[in-house]
Amino acid sequence: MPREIITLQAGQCGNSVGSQFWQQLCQEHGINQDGNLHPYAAEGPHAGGDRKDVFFYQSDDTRYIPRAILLDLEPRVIDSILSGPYKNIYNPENVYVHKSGTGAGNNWAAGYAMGETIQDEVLDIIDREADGSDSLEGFMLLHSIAGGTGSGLGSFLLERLNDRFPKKLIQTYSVFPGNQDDIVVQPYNSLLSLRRLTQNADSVVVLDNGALSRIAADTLHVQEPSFAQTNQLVSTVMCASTATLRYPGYMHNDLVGIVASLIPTPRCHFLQTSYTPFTGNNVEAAKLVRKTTVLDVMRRLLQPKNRMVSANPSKTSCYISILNIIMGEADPTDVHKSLLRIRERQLATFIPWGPASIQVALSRTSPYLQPPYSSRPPPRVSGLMLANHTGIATLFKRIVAQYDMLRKRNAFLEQYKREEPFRDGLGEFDEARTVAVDLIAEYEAAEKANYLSGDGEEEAETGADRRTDGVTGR
Amino acid sequence: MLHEVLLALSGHPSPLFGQHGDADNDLDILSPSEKSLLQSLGQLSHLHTKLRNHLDGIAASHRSIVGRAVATSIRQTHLARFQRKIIDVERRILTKDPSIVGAYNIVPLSTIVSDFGEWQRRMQLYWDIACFMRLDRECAAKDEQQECTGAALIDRLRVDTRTGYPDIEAVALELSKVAEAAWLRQLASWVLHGRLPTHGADDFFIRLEKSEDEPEKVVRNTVLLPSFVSKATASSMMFIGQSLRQLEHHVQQPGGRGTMTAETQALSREHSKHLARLDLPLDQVHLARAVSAIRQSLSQGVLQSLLPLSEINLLLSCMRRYFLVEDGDFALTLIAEAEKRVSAKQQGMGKLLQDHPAKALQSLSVKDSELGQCMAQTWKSLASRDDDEDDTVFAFARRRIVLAAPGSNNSRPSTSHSLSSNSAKVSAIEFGDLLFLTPTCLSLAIESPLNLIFSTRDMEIYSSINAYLIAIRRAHLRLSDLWRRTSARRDHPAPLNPRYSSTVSGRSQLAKTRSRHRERMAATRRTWATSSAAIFLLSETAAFLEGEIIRCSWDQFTSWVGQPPTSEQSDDSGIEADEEVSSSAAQRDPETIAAGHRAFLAALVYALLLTDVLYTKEVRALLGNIDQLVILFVRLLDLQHTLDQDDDAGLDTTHTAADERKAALDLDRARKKVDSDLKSVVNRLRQLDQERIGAARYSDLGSMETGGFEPWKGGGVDRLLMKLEFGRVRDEGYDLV
Repeated sequence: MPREIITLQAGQCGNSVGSQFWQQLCQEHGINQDGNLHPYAAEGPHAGGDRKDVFFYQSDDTRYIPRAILLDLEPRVIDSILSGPYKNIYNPENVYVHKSGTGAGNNWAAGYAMGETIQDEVLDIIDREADGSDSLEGFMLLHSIAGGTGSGLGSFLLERLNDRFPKKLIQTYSVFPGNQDDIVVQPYNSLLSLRRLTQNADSVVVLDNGALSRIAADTLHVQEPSFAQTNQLVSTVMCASTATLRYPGYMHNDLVGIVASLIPTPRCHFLQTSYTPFTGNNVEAAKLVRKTTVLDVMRRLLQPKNRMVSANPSKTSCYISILNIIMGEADPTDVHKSLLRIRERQLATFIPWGPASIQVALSRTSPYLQPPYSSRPPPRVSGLMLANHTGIATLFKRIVAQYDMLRKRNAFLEQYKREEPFRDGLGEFDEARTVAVDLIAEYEAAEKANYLSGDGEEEAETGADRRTDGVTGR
Repeated sequence: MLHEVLLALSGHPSPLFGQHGDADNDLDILSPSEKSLLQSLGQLSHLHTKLRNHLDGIAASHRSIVGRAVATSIRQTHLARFQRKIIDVERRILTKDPSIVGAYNIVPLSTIVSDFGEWQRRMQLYWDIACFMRLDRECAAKDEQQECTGAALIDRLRVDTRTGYPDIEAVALELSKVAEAAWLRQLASWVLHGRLPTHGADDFFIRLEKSEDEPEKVVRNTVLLPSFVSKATASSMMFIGQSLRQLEHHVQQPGGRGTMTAETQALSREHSKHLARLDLPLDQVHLARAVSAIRQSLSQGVLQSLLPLSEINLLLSCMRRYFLVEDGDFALTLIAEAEKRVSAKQQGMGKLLQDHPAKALQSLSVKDSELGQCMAQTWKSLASRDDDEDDTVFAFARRRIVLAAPGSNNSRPSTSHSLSSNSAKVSAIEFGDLLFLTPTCLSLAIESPLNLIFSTRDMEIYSSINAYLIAIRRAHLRLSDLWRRTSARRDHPAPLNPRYSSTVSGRSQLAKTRSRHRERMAATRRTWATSSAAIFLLSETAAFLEGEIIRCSWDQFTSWVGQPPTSEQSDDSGIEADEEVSSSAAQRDPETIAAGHRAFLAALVYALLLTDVLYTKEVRALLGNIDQLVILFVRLLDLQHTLDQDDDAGLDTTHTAADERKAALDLDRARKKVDSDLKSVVNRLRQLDQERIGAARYSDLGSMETGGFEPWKGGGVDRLLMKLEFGRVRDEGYDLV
């Protein structure tokens, strides 16, 4: 029973991350650049051990086609994908580039408005793709929230998917802006997107460019990491987080299983990730051979420097849940020992109102990443941590703060007012801000022991307003 | 008078002696000294007469062949010897042999008495044995038919060889040989041809039990087993005969291999040589060795073609994949199919309840045909997976696995089967009634020759493990499904278009929905938290059971099955098998595998905590309450959803806020139950962790035959507990009360 997932990649960032992701999936499943299985994957000893149909379907001529929908408002990135080595795997009917090709100009409102005008065509593609699957599990949206297309069109898609596909999960991989991003209006775009991510997604994997560059720079010893390099990190994370879906094991072998084990209450659905150790073709410095153990991996995953989010957790911040996906040579005994050590050292603090544990999923990995199929062996053990941490609220706080600064000066608002969503006023900004503030309050309430009892509710409701008066009341 | 005495001794009535062999006191011609001398001879003569009569009866009608053989032997060989002795004495008297006839042709009576002296003891022994076989009418008060078994007789004769008297020893030894030869003949017909002895079958330690609905069953009765046969040897013997019967059955079947008959005949000739080589009286070690040699040759010869390792592996992988749910898709599909049927039924029920309440209740029970359909559908969707083209295990399972309501065959406990009496006791808590509303169980028809390895009892254990695992999975899935309730997890439908955010009405609308959502989210936090805690417990438990215990135990077991047996393992009676036998053995024989499998299963059930009644009770309660929680939560969410829709559309609602409150209250009650059940399960796990220390950590296989298999040792409850209580060590919330 395949649980298919349709991937939507919107905008420049979404598409380039997506293309890396598909490339890596093809390698892991032994699919060549035409979409056919390599002879060793079709006949070899490892054939049939994986589940390709979650992310691919087979065309009439038995080629594997990604369940991917490529959307952009300007042709540059998609053109490069369609002239790249894996150009033949995509279904050309699933590629949508806006005819005028002007893009959204880093403007959320333009992206959103464009979404409304092209929605018939895009939703048609999505419907067709959804009809083509037996038991659709949900959607994965890849985008960045700082620019125009990924954030604006992405937001629009989230709203439509939300209404059109009840009972289907919506997970996003959202690249948040770093501190030194060159898009001046990114606080506007981010805040507006954040509202949709909060209200219309089941789970958001937060990756931020600042942290990604820092990790690329720190661990890979690159001065100024390129987008290709940071995107490589993102696609590695995506591959790892979908590993249990593609190589089903005992637990967490469908998306809802992962989501349900990580996200107890609906609002707190922003996940942060850590991954270790990084290796990749673009990441030259990672090619040194390491000797890694399960304990190493699990300990490193908890280190702040490996987090792909630059949040600044406060003292009260804690984990709501943790899921470690460990790949490679690991067995339950190693995991048990590592957990004992981590518990001894108290490396992780948890919320006071729920089960407090590091869940571990041992996942099989692709046999085709190892010699003789690849030129160099993968790390002995690698791991991904998906964590629900209340500290992520600080990231939202930063966005709100940056927004407040811009908004106070009424800076760059003209270009927004020109677009359809803001034709009647800037009310959407206020609404988005309220939602974001509520979200922050929800996370802060979750740190308290009384989160579950009724009085937490009062706090959450009024906390946001009170804070603006400088009264916390807590 | 001497002649009279001798005639009396050979069993003729004589006026010299009275009824009971006392010298007749009324006979005045005898002096008192003569009388007392004659006393002993009289007794001997009397005993002889009695014995002959008694033995005739035994030889003709004793229920045990062994008994008859011994009686006949005493009667014909030993008493004939006595007769010869009498004739010998007579001859010597007549020939005036100086050893007996003194001067003046006087034959002293005392010489004759002393000559028969050794026979006194012997005759007494014969009499004792005869009485042991069947109580004499005089000795037995009423119960005439009190007869000993062949086994008891053999044991008794063995004891008699150790009295210390050399002559008695010789006699007892001789009789032992006779008895054991008779027993061996019985055994031979079983071991060589798989047939029970035609006479005295009820005295043989193996019995066939026949019942209408089941194929015949071979049963062992240890009471009828001579003590020199060890338990292991006995089970080997039983196994040999059983396999031969199956072989015969197999040959008779259409399509059976015709060449088999010739092969088996050759084999039985070969095997009879093993038995013929045995010395009488039987030696425990030699017998065991002969039997194990026969077993080896049998399993290497015919059985390997009848039941090749590939076949065994096929069965085992089928069990692993579907019963121990290695194939997660199987569990998922089956649960989904069941869910579909149950919910369809419940929907239909609402209408029926109004019209025909009785019928409605009837319709709730699941018919076997429905279960069959459900299974068929499951296989069909599994078959559509791309990687199943030539999957023999799948085909095998599809043909044989049945989902059915547990039938009547469950009511008869098969513990009478002495072999499985040691096997694990699975807690009686029922997990099979969660999938459908009525109990169901998954089972696999074990056909000959696979029943050499699998007993019905083993199958039942697999069924209960399967029900337990499936029930846990199902609860997990149902809970996870809550996360698919879009209206509860996301803002559904999506808020208004951004343009309305700037209008007055839009703003108020937005504010209204926002505050409503906030209230809802705050109100349902506890339920979500409980659901997520339950998911956590279930998923960790399932991961522990499936990922750790089953996987590791199974790996250990299959690698053991695959290894060629070493000399010490190939023979579970602890006797070194012959060199040549072990070196040529490429496969374990089915009986060893069966024993190993039983041990594996017993250890597995114990490690899966299925043997613990308290724990299973708690888990069962938890699963039931989770069901309740899910149903009530869904009801509340649906109610809220319609309320909101009506509200947004400005309609008057058919449901009221009171309905919502009531639903919320019910839900809260269910939630509390789940909460407390979660704690109880964890507490029971803790207790188990403390109870299962030292030797109790692993299943006590004690007296069980394991066929040399050493079950996997690992995966204590502490592993699971550590995960469950990772960050809560000092938290009083989870502490033991």
